[in-house]
Amino acid sequence: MSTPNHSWDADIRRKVEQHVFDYDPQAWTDMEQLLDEAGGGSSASTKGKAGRWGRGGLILLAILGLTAVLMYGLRQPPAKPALGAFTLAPRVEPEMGKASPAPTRPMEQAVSLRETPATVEVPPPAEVLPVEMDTVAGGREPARPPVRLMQPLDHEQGIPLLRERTLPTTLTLQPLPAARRRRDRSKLFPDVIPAFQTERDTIIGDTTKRALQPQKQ
Amino acid sequence: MMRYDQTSTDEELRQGCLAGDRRAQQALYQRYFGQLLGIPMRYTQHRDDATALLNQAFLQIFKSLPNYQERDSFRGWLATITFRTTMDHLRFEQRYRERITLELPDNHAVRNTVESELAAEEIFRHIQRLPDHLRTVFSLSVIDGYKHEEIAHLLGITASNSRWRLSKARQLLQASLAPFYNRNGQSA
Repeated sequence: MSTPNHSWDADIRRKVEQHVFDYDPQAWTDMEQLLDEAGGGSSASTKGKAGRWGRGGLILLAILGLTAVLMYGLRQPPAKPALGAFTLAPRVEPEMGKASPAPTRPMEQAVSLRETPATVEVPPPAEVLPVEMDTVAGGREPARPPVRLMQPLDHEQGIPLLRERTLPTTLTLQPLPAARRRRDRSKLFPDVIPAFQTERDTIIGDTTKRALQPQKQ
Repeated sequence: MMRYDQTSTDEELRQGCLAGDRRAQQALYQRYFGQLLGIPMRYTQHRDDATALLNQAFLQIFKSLPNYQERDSFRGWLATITFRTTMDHLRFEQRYRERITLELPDNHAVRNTVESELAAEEIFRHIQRLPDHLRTVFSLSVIDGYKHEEIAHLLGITASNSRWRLSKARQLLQASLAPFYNRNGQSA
């Protein structure tokens, strides 16, 4: 380090190290906030002791209150759903003497979501052929609601794609044997295989003859 | 109730801080604020940043009071914690960018003497105007007396880079302080 710079540096250092800044009260305000956030900034705090117990007490009270609410909620029986919002449509009895209406599917009975008058005029049944459930592909059993199709089926019922009666009782096709199937190449390629075999036998025969012949010296 | 004022000794203030007395903490803070602020002041660009760093250092001081050993100088212990907090902040911020905020001088003559009339606060102000990477090396080398190898290890740079930065900082600082000198090398 050169002498001129050395003396200049020393002067700068001396002035910087010896300087004392003025106290800033605002700095202490910021420091207090830091101390409050850090919990006093020391192992024990006269302000923190009461504050700590106060905070802990509040937390304990909150936990106890929450526990009491949960216990109260669990003890209460489940409330029954109110049925006043909607009612089923009243059952309509057919008038005496008249032919009974065509059987309709129970799910077609409209469930009225609003109150219906006591007397409902039932339109006269149209003359239609009775529809049997069994002949309709993918028909549903009357007792089973449509939504059940989306649920896993029981193993007893199977997949109701086709009715059992529609399936043929006998199969015309021969089932495949369980053993490994061997191809009969002579039957697959009747022209090629016999000729190949003949040629192969000829080659093998010549080779065997040559091997058996004593080597000429 | 214990009362803390300027007549209280460092030991009394320390015991009060250990007990968590906020008044003791305030008294200790007020006593050493002016002396310790100079450490972050020569490593930051603004006084607000320096004050915030000093507050962080005091927070660390209050937490580390149980670890203080009486054989050490209390003031030196405080200064060490403040310096380490400042260095940790510098490393975290990584303000070693090549950012020139001062223009290069027009070949001003180098003044070798600083008169006592030149205020220290003026020096601090000019030090803070230096670019971050130059200011750090200048403060570490000139004011805190670190060697270039130590500075290189501290900042993660090479020793030659440290020397270059010091040279650059000195050049800029001397140029910025040039108006304070008259022809005879005395401050205005």
